[in-house]
Amino acid sequence: MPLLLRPRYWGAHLLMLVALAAAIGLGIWQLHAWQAGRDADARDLSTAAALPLSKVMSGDDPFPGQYLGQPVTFEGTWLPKGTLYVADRDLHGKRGYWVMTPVLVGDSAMPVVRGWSPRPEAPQSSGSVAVRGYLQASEGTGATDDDPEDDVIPEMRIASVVEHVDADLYSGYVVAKDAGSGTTGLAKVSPESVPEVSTTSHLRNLLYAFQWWIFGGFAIYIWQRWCRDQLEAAAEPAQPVAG
Amino acid sequence: MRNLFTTYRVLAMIVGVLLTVLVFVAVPLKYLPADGTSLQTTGDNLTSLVGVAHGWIYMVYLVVSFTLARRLRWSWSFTGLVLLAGLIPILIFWVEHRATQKVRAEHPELAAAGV
Repeated sequence: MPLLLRPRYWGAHLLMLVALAAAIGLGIWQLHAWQAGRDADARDLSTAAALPLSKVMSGDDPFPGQYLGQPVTFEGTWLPKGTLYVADRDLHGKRGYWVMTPVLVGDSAMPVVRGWSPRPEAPQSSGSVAVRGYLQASEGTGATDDDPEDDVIPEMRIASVVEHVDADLYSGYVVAKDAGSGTTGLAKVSPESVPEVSTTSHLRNLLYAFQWWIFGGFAIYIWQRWCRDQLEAAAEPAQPVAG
Repeated sequence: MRNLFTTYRVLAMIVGVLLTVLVFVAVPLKYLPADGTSLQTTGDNLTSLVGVAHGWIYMVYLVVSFTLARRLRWSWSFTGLVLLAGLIPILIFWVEHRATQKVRAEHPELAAAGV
């Protein structure tokens, strides 16, 4: 029987196979995560038929990632006191603000971006309203609000809105396509002018996949060196082990 | 050869520090504070950053320490310990210390300029 097939070496061979299988499997898993993430991003829902908001999410749900950009409809009441202006928003090359007023839907408030304005001011909206618009996830680049007391916020982050609104908030917001009187007098914000979701997290998955396969290759390399060592040691049985 | 030994020590320190920050600072910050708070966001970003950095530097560490182990004819069990230490927090500092002692004892010419 060849030396390396003897039962006393089986454990080491098995260890290599387990390490290799784990590295290949984890790499494939990361590759799938990368593909799934890209597919989800590539899905353009903005032209899909509108769904009632209650079918997509409730006020307590975490943001449903598969519905990013989904057109939704809902009815509620404007909360004019919660109006905020999101800074640094461009429209046709001009810098201005998004005008956001929350709409109370049942027990929770949905932030609604009504439109764009060159200055942080807009006509008040009040009363009941039927909104049609695109569902968006909270932004979060970590921009800091240099003056939390005023009604201008640096980005459309739900955590920043919470401090200004006296109701539970949905974990997302809606860019209005039509919100009755709420959208009149304001330039329309199209879904195209909404920042894209970052793809870096998916790139990370791809890099992790390669990394696992490199680890697998390294396991084979170590195993091969080990085999050679065993053969060399067996070829010189008279050599005392070096201290 | 002495360069290889120094490279090993530097890499072991970097891997050790990254792993310590990852396990004892970044991951707790990612999961303990409430979602959406700036502390939690920082933890999330830090976990990605340090995690990716540790992953790639650990690969370099594997190659360097395996090469060193073969040249110095370390036993297979000690070699395995050195390689795996890069994945277990704190352990790598102790293993690096043991490896340095071992090199000083067995190859004093390599450790002469060492710290």
